Amino acid sequence: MLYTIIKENTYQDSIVLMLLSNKLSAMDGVNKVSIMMGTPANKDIFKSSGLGTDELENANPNDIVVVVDTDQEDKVSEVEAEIEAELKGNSAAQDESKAQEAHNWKKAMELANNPNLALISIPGQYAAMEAENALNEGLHAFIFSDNVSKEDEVKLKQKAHEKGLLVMGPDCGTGIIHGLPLAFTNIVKEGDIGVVGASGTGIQEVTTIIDRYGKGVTNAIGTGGRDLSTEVGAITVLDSIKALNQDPKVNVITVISKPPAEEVQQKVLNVLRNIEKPVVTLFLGDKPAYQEENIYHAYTLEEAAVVSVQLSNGEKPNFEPKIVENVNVALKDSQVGIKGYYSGGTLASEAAMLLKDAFKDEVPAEKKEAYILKTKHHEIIDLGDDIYTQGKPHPMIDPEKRIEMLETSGNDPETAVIMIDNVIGYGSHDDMANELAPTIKRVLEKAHQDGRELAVLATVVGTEQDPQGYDKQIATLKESGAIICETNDQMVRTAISLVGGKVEQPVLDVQNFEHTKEDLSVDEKIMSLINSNPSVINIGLKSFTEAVKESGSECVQFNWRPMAGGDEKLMKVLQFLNYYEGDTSNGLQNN
Amino acid sequence: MILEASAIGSIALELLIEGKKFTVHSIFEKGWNIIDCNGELIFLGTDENGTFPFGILLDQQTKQTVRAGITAGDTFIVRNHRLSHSRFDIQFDHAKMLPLNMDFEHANINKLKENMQQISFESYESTDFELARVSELIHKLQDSSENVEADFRYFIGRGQGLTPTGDDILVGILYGHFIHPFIAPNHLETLANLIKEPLTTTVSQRFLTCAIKGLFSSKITKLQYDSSLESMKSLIKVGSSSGKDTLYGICMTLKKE
Repeated sequence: MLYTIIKENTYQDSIVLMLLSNKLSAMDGVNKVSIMMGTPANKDIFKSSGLGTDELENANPNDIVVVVDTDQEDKVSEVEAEIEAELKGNSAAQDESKAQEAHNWKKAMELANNPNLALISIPGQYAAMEAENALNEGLHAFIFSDNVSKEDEVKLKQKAHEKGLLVMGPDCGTGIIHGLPLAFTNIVKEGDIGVVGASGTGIQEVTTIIDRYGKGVTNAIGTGGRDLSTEVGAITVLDSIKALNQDPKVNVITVISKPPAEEVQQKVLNVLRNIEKPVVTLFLGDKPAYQEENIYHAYTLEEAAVVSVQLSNGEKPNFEPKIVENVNVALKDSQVGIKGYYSGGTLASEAAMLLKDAFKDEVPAEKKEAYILKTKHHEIIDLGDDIYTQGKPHPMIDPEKRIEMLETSGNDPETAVIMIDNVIGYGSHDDMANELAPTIKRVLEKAHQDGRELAVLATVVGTEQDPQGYDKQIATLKESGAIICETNDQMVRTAISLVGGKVEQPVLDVQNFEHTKEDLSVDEKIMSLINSNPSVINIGLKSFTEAVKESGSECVQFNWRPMAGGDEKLMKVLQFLNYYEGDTSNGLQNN
Repeated sequence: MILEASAIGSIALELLIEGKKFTVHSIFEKGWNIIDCNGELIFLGTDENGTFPFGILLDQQTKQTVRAGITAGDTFIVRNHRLSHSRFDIQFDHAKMLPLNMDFEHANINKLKENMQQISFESYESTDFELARVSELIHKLQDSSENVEADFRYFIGRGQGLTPTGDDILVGILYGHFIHPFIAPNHLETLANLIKEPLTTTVSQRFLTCAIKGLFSSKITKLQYDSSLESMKSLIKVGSSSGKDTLYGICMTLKKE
């Protein structure tokens, strides 16, 4: 008996069709089978080989036609299932990836293909526990979550170090691991500059500048802001530096952080002094007092990026600060204020640092709440600070607060310059420039009507590969009347120059320091993390899974929910039992 | 995400008119096809099977990224020199043009003939495309007074695969014609008209319409510049039998004298 199966408008590689044909022919109970596209010539073949059926006439050239000769009717559904499975081929792979979701560690580990990295973004109070689970499973951890206690961070990082693993974070907003952007990150070209950073937007600014200079960063290891505290002791920073040192593809190592505790800074510098590769450090907030033979101490993010590029090119470091020249703004004598409204915390800190440097006399000793810097005339605000984000999305996603600040400061007759950043990349607003542009235009027009001129400076942190497109964001802002600055450094220096100030770039001598010998070896697992495509288990925000997959890496989504109804005490007991004596094979699993 | 195309074929570029909508037609290991409302098809993917005049060349990484995120039926719209999908933009204004490779006079026919002798086409004897049948078609094609419509109808759309064997052989015969012209113009016209009929798959139609105009995949045109056995072997590797079928058509054409 002949049975006809027509798969309308279905296409497959010839190879897939041939394999399918072989498979079906070999099935028990199938006397004869033929698979062809439903062209008129092929219908003739079906007929001449004794496989002609009435249904064949309904087939079109773009349909896959299967005619089966079998005496067992139930074979047809079996054949059909086989066809279905085989033809799905590519789409089946997609379905499979959609099914890659787990609700517990056991399932997640089963589904994942040799996982080596856990990306954790669940609420802070549970994040440490799951990070520990990840370490127990032999995975490196990237903890995006904040609100993890310092004690937990120390415990996790010590455990990781003992196991030869890396804990990035907590509160790690940015990272690039073997070219894979994690969390809020830009798409940066791969290259020979290795970055270790304890600051999210600091990494973003440095890596994107490097990218725009035509060089690349394959690994930018985020460590979390507290890694260089006395308690944590730079465990992750040191392991990361050693890993980049061992990696033959890295030619320049760039370390970015806020000024660490003194003893920690010395510890980090001692390791760096053991390294032969050229190193760039930036302890943002400190004005470097000396240079070293093999370690370039940068003052600003742009300087760190530019010098890294120069060293990667085998050139001598030579950084000349730039400002945007010929800004055509006529300010009145009463217009003296610089106002910076930032979405990137590190960028705001950099602005405050440069302003303090330029206007030493008028900087108050104490920090005022909600301001990174507030002087008589100037103010720098980090709108990503908790005080502004409570109950609201981050300013990289939500333009509302910035629009409000732009309006207010624009109306202030004392304001001379307004500075804004636009951090693009994964996790940021789809088109922030378009959200801010109408307000910039309005603020400028309004000032003009009031008989004033105003400079709105803007900088975009991103690359052309980013989803929002660097050039597109710049074009939109430019059209609104904003003056575009290539970097935050240039934006702040331009602002300072517009109100008659100047930041002196330090001119430094090279000094030599004694150092104690340091063991620079690093565990193979860390080397493997930075040298191969990570296979990720994502615990928390589903959008991270999509971003990882979009970048071409494997990712299993772990839809986490708290055990024991979220009772932390009980959860900790279960946690202890699960990994009692490190035995995971018989332990209770997080179900 | 904005991705870059590495290179683009002239036919593909002609089709990428601002605002035009394309639908994902079929997805394969090495790339995918998109199709416009007139049934015109563009291939996007890597050059593992060669490059095509109706193709947009992508590097491995880009192909993989996009391929993992699209399904058949998805829409691409041409916007600002980009093929824009809801999740990706493929930028093509910086892509270099793929060469047309229409300098058929470079072909070293004697060398090609010589090397082809080392490839056996005997297995075709037991198929619908035995040597005598293909020879007869080639013979008839030289004579403008012959009626070849029935022969074409036999070949077009016949055989296994997304590009049925008969079509691949015809592409080979057409290539043979371009390196050493022999087909009477009226027969080319007949073929051009038949291809417009629903006789074969959309993908195969695309290859044939290009071939009639002298546009072939780079795996085929390589033979003009390099008549070595290696070039032939690399053509044979295309598809399950497509490459070999094409080479069979070329070989039979060159052997006709």
